[in-house]
Amino acid sequence: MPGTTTSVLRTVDHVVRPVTAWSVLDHEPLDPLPVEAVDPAVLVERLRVDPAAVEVLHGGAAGAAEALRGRPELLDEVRRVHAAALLPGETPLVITDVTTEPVLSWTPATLVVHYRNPHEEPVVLASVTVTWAGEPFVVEQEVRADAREGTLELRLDEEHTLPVGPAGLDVTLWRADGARAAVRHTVLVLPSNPLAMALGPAGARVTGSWSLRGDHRPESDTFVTECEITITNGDPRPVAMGRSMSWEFWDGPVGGGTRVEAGTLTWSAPITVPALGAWRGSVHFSSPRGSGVFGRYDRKEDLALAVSATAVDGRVLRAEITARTLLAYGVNIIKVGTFGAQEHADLYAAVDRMREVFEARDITLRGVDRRLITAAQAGGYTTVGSEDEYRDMLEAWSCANDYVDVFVVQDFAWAGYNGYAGDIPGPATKGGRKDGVAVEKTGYTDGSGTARLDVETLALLVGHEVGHYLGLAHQETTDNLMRSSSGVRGAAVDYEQYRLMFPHGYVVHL
Amino acid sequence: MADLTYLPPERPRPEPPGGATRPSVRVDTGAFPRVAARIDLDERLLAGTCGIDGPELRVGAEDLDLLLLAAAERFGAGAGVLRRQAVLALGLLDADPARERLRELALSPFEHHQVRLHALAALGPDRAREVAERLREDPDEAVRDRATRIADGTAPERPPVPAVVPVDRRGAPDGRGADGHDGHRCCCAC
Ligand SMILES: [Zn+2]
Repeated sequence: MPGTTTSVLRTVDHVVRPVTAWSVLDHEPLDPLPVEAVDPAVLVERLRVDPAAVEVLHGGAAGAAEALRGRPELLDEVRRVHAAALLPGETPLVITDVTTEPVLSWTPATLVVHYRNPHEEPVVLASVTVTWAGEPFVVEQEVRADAREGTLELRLDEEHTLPVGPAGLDVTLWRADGARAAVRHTVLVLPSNPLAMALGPAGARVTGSWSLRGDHRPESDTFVTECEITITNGDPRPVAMGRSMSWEFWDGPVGGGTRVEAGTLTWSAPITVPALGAWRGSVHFSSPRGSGVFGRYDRKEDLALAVSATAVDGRVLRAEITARTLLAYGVNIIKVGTFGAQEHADLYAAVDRMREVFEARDITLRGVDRRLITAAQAGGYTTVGSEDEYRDMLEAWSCANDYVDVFVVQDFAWAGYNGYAGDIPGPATKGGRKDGVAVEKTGYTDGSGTARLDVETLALLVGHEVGHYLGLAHQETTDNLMRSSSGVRGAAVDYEQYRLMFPHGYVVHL
Repeated sequence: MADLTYLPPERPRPEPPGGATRPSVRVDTGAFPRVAARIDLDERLLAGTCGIDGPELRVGAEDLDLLLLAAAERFGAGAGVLRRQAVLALGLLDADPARERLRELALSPFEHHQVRLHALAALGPDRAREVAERLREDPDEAVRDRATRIADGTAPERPPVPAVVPVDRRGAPDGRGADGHDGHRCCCAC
């Protein structure tokens, strides 16, 4: 017999990445070597490939086609060598790495950009675009770098300091001849005061403080609230925390309304926040029908969750966040054609990221249905080459449910488009030539030669096309999800857009 | 559909400590004309990427050198969408070096298949057919399929009646549903 009070369902300690390379979506270091100048044995050793793969690369692209016809299984290894090598005549500007000391709140920071430039023209301009809890901003800096390889410093001064929390730092370099190199980098800004706690929804990666969601589980008739707790330490020595924390749900602001329910939670292992580092864990609250929290969620009222923790040395940390039920829609993610294991992982990382984008405006995913049309079944639809092909695909295939069909195809080779929606808004029924959206998979080969998808770009692209489907037109305000250009598109969804999506037939209250 | 009577009012958002804005700092790129031209070109390349009333991709002969440069940039962020837009734009120029580069890219088994497919599309139907003939046996499945269709002039095969998309049996990469919940919350019986 379930009780009628909220309890802690479970706690989970997370493995934490370094605060100076915070996101799993960060670039990996690159180090391409000129193939003519490197002993083939070095590449074979470094990349652990069949020596024949290096030989194929030495033969150039024309000879490679011939060689691979005899040994098609070598293709993956050849691409790994290609990703690690510069071919004769290639002189790209490459950012090999971006490094930084731990970034402290309200303190200027310096990014060290490591580059390689096998060309006589110098690097002349560097910029960093910062995405954080506020509006994104850009800091450009004139530089003069003539060396074939070296480092440049990009400085965020007193006017550009950041509060505690994650920050995205997109770094770009330009060479005098117009060549460009760019990488994505993220950091977790640490408190300079020097210990802080923050609460967030599950999986929050890049920006913002928004709401937790009360998620109704029909099978148990409970609301589950998942909260991620991050404790950051700006001190050069570790901090031990007590294993128990207290929690309180309030209606209205903490201290200003009524305390609805309260309790304590205990972590399974001792908590140590590393020196100049972070600790992260999640707690899942379960609120059965009859509990105070269930009743507030059921009436679509806002709650506030407060958590307090105590360090072994006596310091007390408190944090709070709003919790509410959200609107929701579902997506059928339809892979069209072959996706490698890493591409599959990247695709669902992008769907996760897209969920965060909508949750920042109180809309979540009620489900993600995984679908696949194999290359053999697709009958030529693995790439989209025209509007007719796109609409034929919608007509030929659909998922018989009330989720938005999202076709992720191998390529759009059609007028420079990389995404399209059936209509604004799309129908809330299946069948016909308008019942879905399609995007290209945003593939590229990473520095290790692995076929990847560009998770951040893909997340915003799918979110953008689904936004059309749910009723949104283009909107050219700073950082908006519905900007038409994928060069400036951001993750912002405003209240008016929320209002427009609200009545779509596929949008429901959870 | 969600009941509009439940539409909540706009709620105040917590302002980040220290305010929500920081001033952007821009450098006058006048001293670096190629850099200024490149920034302008990149903006144009990415401006019309959504099929819903996206502006047409516009480039001119003066963009040729920078497009060749951008189409060759295969390392780091930008190696995906931006590079492919540059590849596609090369096809809009009536210039031999552009066509030569597109042929090389389409035929190169080293390159990612999306780059190759963009190069094929950019060549235009007649030249693409010529190149596609040589790609019928290509080791890359997506390139081989598209090339065969181009060479034979065939349209995609549609299922005889609208078909239900099959379930993907490959699970979640990390054991979590992509909706953030543990396990697979899915509306189908799988
Ligand atoms: Zn659009």
